[in-house]
Amino acid sequence: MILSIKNLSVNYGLIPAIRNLSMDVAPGEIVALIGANGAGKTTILRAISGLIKPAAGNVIFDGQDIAHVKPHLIVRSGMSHVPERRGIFANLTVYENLLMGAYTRKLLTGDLEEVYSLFPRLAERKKQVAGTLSGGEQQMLAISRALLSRPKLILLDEPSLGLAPQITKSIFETIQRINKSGTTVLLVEQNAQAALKVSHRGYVLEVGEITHSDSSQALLTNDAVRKAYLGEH
Amino acid sequence: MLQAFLQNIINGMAQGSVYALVALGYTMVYGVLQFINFAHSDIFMLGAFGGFFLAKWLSPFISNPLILLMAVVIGSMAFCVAVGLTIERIAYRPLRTAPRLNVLITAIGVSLFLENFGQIIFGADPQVFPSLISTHSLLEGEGLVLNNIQLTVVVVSVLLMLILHWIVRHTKLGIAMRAVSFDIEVANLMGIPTDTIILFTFTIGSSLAGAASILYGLSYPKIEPLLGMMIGLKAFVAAVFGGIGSIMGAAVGGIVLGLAESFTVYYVSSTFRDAIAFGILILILLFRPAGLFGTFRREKV
Repeated sequence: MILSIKNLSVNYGLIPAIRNLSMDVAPGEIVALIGANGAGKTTILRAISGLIKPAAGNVIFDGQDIAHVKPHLIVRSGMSHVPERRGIFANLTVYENLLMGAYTRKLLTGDLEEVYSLFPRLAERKKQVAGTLSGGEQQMLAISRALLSRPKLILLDEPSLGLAPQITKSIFETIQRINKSGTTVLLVEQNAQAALKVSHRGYVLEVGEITHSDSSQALLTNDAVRKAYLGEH
Repeated sequence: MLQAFLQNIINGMAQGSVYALVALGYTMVYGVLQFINFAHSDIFMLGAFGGFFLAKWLSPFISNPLILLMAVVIGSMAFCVAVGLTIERIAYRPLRTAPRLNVLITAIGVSLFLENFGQIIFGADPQVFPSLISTHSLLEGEGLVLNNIQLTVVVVSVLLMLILHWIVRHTKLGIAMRAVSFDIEVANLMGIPTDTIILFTFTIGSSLAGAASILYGLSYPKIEPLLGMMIGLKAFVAAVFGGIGSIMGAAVGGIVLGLAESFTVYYVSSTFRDAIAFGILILILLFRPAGLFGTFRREKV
C-alpha cells in the first residue's frame, strides 16, 4: 500500500468529525472517496496531508507514519494535495503559481513543457494573473501545480466543483491520463457518478464512517449506493 | 512661491521616505500574518540606539565618513533583524493558530515592554545622535536648499525600495512570500516552509526599520526610547493609507504623508503637523477603508 489509514479519528473541538476510519490506497490506483456534503471527505484529506492533526490513528504513507508531520515536509516525501476550491494564488501569475508548485525542486523547462502539453491553455496564459482565469482553467492550474512536486500520490478534493459538465469530463480524462503515467490518485467527489466511472475502487463515507467499500464497478451497481448517491429512487 | 513649493517637495520627500521604509515593515508583516506588529516602531527605536552606540564605538577606527555611515546603517539593520526575529520567534510564533486579537494584544505588550526596557537601559533623556556626515548644501540660491543629508536619505530609501521590489517580484523567496500572504495553508501544501518565509518577512521589515532609523537620526539628531511611538503611528497611517498589505501602497503612502506634512506646516501651521496624519487616517477609513492600493478579499461561497 502506498497509503494506509488506520483507525483515524479527527475532532473539531469536542465534536468528532471522523471516527475510527481505516482505508487503503495501492500504488497505481485511482481511489474515489464519495459521500454527501458534510460527511467528512475534506477532513480526511486534510488529515492525510497534515493540515489538521488527527486525535487518534495512523496515516502510513510510503512506509512512514506521517500523522504528525508538518504539511510542507509531507509534500517533500512525495504527496500533493489539491485543496477544495483549488487554492490558486489569485495574486500570482500562472507561471508564478507553477513555480510555487515546484517549490521543493528546481523548475525545469521540461517540467513546464510537460504541463503545457497536458493543458495547452495554461501556456497561452502563463503571464496572466491567475485570479482572472476561468474556473476550469484554475482547476487545470491547480492540478498542474500539484504535479510539479513530482508526487507519488495526489489527493484531489472535488475537482468538478463549480465546473460545466463538458469541462468536468475533460478534467476527469486528464486525471486518468495522469494516473496512467504512474501517479496514484485519491479522489474526493460529490459527483459520485463521475468519480466512480474513472476510479478503480471506491469508499462511501457517511457522517465520519465508511459504509461501503468495493470496486467502483460494484459500487455503481450497488442498490443502496445508487439510491443514496446516484440519484435513483 | 515656486521655490517654497519645491522646497516643500524636497523636505517632504526626505521625511516621507523614512515613513515609507517603516510603513513597509508594517504592511509586509500584515500581509503574511494579518496583524499589526505594534512592536515594529520600537524596533525602529532600538535601531536608532544601536546606530548611536555603533557610531560611538566605530568612529575612532573609521575616519572616512561614508564608510562609517555604511557600517552604521548595515550594523543597525543587522541589529534590528536580530530583534525582529527574536520577537517573532518567542512572542508571535507560539500564537500562530490563536485568534488574531491575541496576537495583536501580544504585539502591544511587546511594544510597551521594549519602550520601558529602553527607558531603563538608555535612560529617558534624549541623546544626541552623532552627525556621521557633516551637513553641506548641494544646491543653494533662489531660497532653495537641498543638503547632502536630505539627498542621502532619499537615495538610500529609494535604493532599498527598489531592492525590495526586485526581491518580491523576481526571487523565489519573494514569490513565496506573496503566496503565503495570499493563502498560508495552500502555501504549506506546495511544500513552502511557511515559518521560514515569515521569518524572512520579519528580516526584511526589521532591516528596513534599521536603515530608516539611521536616516532619521541623521536628519533629526535627537533620540529617546519613546522615539518610535510617533514615527510608528505615522508609518502605520501611511501603510493604511496605501492599503495595508500592499507594498506599493506603503511606499506611496509614506511619501504622500511626508509631503502632506511638509505642505501643511508651510501653508497652514506647524501645529497641524501631527494632526494631518490622523486627519488622513480618518478620511481614508471613511471613504476608502481598503486604502489606495488595497483590495478587499471577497470570500467565494
